[in-house]
Amino acid sequence: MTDTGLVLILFVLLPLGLWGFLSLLSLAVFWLLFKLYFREYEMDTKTMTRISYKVSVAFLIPILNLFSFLIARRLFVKSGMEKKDALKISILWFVITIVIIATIVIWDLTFIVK
Amino acid sequence: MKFGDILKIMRRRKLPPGTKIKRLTLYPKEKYSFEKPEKAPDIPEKPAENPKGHWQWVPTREKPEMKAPEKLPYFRDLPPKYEEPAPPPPAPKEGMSDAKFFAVGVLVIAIAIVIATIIGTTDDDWDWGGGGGLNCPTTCNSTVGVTVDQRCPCPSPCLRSFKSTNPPGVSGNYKQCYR
Repeated sequence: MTDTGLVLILFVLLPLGLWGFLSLLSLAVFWLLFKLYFREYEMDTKTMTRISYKVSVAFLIPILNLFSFLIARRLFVKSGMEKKDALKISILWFVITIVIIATIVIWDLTFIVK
Repeated sequence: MKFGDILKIMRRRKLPPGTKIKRLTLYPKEKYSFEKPEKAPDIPEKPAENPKGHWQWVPTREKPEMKAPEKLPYFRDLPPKYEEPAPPPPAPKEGMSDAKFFAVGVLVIAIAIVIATIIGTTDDDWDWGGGGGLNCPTTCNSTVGVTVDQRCPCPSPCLRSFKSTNPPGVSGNYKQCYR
């Protein structure tokens, strides 16, 4: 494989792929949270998609990922959610996403070691 | 903070029947586009035209008298436009609100997960600095003595010790135990 191909994969395809995966994951988590817990709210798909890909970018950037739930909270408040509920849903999203990713990473490492 | 406290915060609010669902959006223009359009108010039918020969008195606009007031009120005499707002009632002092409880609890869980993940992924074979431990000897030759890590207790019967130089090729703090 040429160097160009390697650079393309490392710096373009991999981040874009991770971004897409995280966006889909966030979308699924938000959708489930709205269906199961925050039933007094309803969000249109366009807004939910926008919030998902924005917070996914924040989640991918080092250091910023620790505070990505604050970005999610700001977006939810902007969309009309109450501040308390926005904090709840954004922290729940953060924790669930970390748990899922940690599970994947640990499972992957276990697989490599075997 | 107990786990029960977090559960108490996370408990589902019981919505009274007939509660209106709040719609969230970042696109205010399309905010209510998915709602059914409201019915247009009934337009009253036009009254039937009056028959010919019918007449009705219509009041005309009279020109108001343009007369200046004799004395203009001084601005200090004018009553204040707005009443002074009442001082806000003192807020009741609370301990820790539910939102703070929730935030702190979830943050603690998140940090615990991150630390557990980091520790869990550390493997001794990969030489990442994890694992290992003290290898403290449990026996001692009473004539030669034994060199042990400073954190280890001296094995019996070599209960006396002094700080020694490290064995060749080994780093750390060691002590020499002797009888």
